Amino acid sequence: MRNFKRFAVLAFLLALVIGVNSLLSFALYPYTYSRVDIHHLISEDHDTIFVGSSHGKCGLNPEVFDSVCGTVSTNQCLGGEYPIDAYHIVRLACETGHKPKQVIYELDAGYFVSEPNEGADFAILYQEFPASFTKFHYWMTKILDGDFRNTLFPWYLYRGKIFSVNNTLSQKRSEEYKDFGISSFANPAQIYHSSGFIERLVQPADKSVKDIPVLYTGDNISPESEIYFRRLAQLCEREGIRLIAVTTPVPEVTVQEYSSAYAGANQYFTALSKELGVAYYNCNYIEEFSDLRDLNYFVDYDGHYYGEYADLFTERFAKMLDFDDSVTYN
Amino acid sequence: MSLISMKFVVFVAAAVFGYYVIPKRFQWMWLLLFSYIYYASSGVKFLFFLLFSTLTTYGAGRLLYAVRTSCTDKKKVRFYGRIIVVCGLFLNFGMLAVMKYTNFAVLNINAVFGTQIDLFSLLLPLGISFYTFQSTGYVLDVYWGKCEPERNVLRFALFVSFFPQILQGPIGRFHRLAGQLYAEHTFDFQRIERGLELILWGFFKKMVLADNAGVFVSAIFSDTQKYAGLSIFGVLGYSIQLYGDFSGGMDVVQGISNLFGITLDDNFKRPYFARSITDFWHRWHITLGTWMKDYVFYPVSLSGWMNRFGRFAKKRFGKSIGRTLPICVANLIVFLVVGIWHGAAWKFIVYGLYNGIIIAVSGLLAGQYRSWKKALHINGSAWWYQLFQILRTFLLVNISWFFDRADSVPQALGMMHNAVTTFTPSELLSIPVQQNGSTAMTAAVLVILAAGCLVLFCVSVLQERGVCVREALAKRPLVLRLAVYLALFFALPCLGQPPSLTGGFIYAQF
Amino acid sequence: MEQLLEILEDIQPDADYEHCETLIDDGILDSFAILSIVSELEDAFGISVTPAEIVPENFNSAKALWAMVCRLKEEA
Repeated sequence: MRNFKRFAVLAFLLALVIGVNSLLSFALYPYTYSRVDIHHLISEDHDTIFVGSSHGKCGLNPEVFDSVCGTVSTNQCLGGEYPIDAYHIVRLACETGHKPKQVIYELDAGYFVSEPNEGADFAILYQEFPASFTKFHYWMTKILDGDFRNTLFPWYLYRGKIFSVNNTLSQKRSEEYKDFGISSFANPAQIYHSSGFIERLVQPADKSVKDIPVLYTGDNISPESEIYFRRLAQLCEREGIRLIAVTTPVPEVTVQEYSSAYAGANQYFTALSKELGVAYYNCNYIEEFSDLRDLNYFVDYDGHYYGEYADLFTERFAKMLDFDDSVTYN
Repeated sequence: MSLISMKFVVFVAAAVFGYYVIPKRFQWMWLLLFSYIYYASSGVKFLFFLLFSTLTTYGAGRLLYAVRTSCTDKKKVRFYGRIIVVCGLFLNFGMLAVMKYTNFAVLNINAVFGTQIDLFSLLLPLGISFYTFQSTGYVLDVYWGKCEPERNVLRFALFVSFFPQILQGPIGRFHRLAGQLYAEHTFDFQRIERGLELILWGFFKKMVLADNAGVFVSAIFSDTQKYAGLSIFGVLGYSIQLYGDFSGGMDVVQGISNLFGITLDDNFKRPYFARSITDFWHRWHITLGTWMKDYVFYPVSLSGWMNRFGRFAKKRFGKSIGRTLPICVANLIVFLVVGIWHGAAWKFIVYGLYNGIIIAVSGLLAGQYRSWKKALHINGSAWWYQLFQILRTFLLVNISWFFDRADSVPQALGMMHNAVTTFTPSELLSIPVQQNGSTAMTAAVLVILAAGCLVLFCVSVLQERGVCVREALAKRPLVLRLAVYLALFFALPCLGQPPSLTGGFIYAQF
Repeated sequence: MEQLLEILEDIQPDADYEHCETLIDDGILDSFAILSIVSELEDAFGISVTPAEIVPENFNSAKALWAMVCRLKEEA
C-alpha cells in the first residue's frame, strides 16, 4: 500500500512535469521556417534535395535550379546544419517515402573543423522531425551527447522568448501556422521562399563586421563531421541516390586573405570526395564562377549571396551539372 | 560522457535500475561493469592507464601482505616493504608525471636553453589525478597497517574505478569506501529520494550559480584591458563559479552514489565561512587536503632528515621556533605539490606556495597572535572578531583565485592591480550573456545570479549554525517537498546557462 | 603523564587535556599542533613516531597519547 502511494506520487509528478513542459513548449517554442522545411520534406516528392549550411540556404535557389533542369527540388540547408544533421534529413526523406533522385550537399569547410555548438539551433531540426526511426537515431547520435535539458525541457533554449509569449501564442493559433504559411518569416533583411530558399536583401549595415571564418588548419578535422559525410555517401549509394558536393563561392578577397587555409581544405575535400566516389565542385576554384565572386554580390565577407546573385549562381551551377558528363557517378 | 549530458542521465538510470533488479551478490560486479563502460566511453585506449594503476597498486598490496605473513624478521619486513612501496609509488606517480607534466617540462627547457624540442601530443586520461591518488593512498595504508589488502583483484578494480567519483573525486579511502562498494544494498525509496534531492541541488549550484557567473568571469578574464574596471567582479564571480561548479559536481556525484546506497567522503564544508587559510583547506576539497596531510605532510615531517633539521633548528633558533620550522617546511612542500597537482603551469605553483606561505607564517606566529589578542583584550569568540576573520580569509582566498584563473602570473598581478585602482561596475551590463552577443538579458542574469547566491547563502548559514537542512526538509509534508524539488528542477532550464557559453565541469580536467 | 600534560599545555594552552576525549574530532589540535607534540614527545621520551601512528585514536585524549608513548617506549 505504501509503495502504491509512492508510485502514485511519482506518476503524478511525471504527469505534472510533462504537462508543464508541453505548456511551456507551446508558449515558448517559436514558429520557425525549419518547421516548413521539414513539412515539405516529408509530404512531397523531390528530385533534388539541397542540404548544407547557411551558404547553401542563401546561395541555392530551387526555383531557378528547377527552371533549368525541369525538376522539383527543395532547399533543406540551415545555418548550423552539420553533416550529422544533413545525414538525418536525407534519411528522414527516405524513411517517409519521399526518396529524392539526387542530393546536393553544400559543403562548408567550417562545419568540418568544428563541433555542433549547443546553442539555439542545436536541436531545432530534431524538434521538427516527426516521430520516426530516423528521429530516434538522431536522438541517439546527437541529442544524447548534449545537455540533458535539450531532451527533458525541449523549450529551454527559447526561455528568452518569455517576453514575446503573446506573439508566439497568437501565431500558433493562427491559420498560417496550421497551413505552414510563410508570410511571417519575411523581414527587411530576407525573404523566405516555400522552396526553402532564403533571399537576402541589401541592408545598410552589411559587411560592417568582418567576421573571421573557422579555418581548416590541416589537423583540425572533426572526426564526427567526416564520419557523417561518409555515412551520407553510403546512404545515398545504398538508396541509389546521386550525391554531389558543392562549395559555393566565397568573396575573392576572403579566399585571398586565407588562401592557404582555403586551398588546404580544397585539397582535403577533393581527396575525400574522390575516395567516396562523390562529384565535388569547389566553385572558388572553377573558372566559370570567377566573375561571381565580387564582394559586392555578398552580404558579408563570409560569403552569403544576395538573392539576385544567388539566382545567377544557381543558374550557372545547374547548367554546369546538367551538361557535365565528365564526372562519373557511382 | 559529461555529467550534464543526456547520455549520462540514461546511463545512471540504467545502472540504478539494474542494480536493484539483479541478485544482490552480483551488485558490485554490476557497478564494476558500468564503471568500466563509463571509463571506456572516454576512449578505449585510456583503459590501459586505469588497468596499469589498478594492477600495480593491487600487486603492491598483495606483495606487502605476503612479506608480512611469510617473514618473521621485523627488519626484513620493513626493508622489503619499503622497496615495494617505493616501486609502487614510482610507477604510478611516474605515469601521472609523464602524462601531465612532460609538455610543461619541455616548454621550460625550451625557454631556458633556447632549444626547439617539439611538444608531445599527450591526451590526459580521464580522472588520472584522482584515481592515482586514491590507489596510491591504498598502498601506503596497507604498508602502515591501516587496512587489510584486498584479495580479489576485481573487487579492487571497482575501488579504483567507481564511476561517479572517478572524474573529479572525492578521493576515497579504502577502509571507508571499499566495504560499502562490496556490500549488498536493498532498494530504499527514501534513500533514492535523498539522492535525487542532492543531485538536483548539485545541478542547481552548477547551472544557476557557476554557469551564470562563468559567463561574466570568462568575459572579464579574456579581455583584461577592456574590462579593467571589473577585475574585482571577475574574481568574485570566479569564487562563486568555482565553488558552485566543484561543490555542485560533488553533490551530483554524492547523490548518484547514494542511489546505490554508497556514501562518499565529503569534499566541501562551506569553505567561504573559513576563519583562516588552514581552516579553509579543512573545508575546501577536503579529500585532497586530508590525502596530502596523511600521505605527504606527516611522512615528510616525521622523516629522518626532517628530524635532524628539527634538532638543528631547535639549537639555533630556540625551542618554539625550532619545533615549528620543520613543520613549516613540510607544509610548504605539501602546497607546492598541491599547486603542481592543479596543473602544469607556473601560476599554479605560485597559487600553491601562496597558500603554503600564509599557513606557515601563521603557524610560526601562532604564539605571537595569542599574546597580541591578550594584550588587546580581544575575545576570540566575539561575533565581530569571527566576522573579521571570515572576511580576512575570504580576501586572502580571492587573491589566490587570481593565480588560479588568470592565464599567467603577470596577468594575475595586473588584474590585482586593476582591482584596487579602477572600478567601473556599470560595465557589467555591457557583457553579453547570449550566444548572439546580445546584452538584452545581462541584467536579468545578474539578478538571477544574485538571487541564487542568496539562496545558497541562507542554506549555508543554516548549516553553519548546525541545522541539517535536508533533515529538516525531510520532516516537512510531502507537498512542500515536492514543491521544492519541482522548483529546483525547473530552475535548471529556466535560470541556468546553456553549455554553449560555459562548458563542462572545471575539475573534470584534472 | 605529568610531563605529557606540561608539553600539551606549552604547545596549545586553553584546552582541558585531563578530561577532553575529542581533541582531534573537535579540531582542538590541528596538524601543526600534532606534529609539535610529536616532536616534543620524541625528545622527551626518546621514542620515534611513524606516520602510521598519526591516527585520531592516538591523539583524541591525553590518556590515549600516554598509552601510545608507553607502547612505543617498550618497542624502542
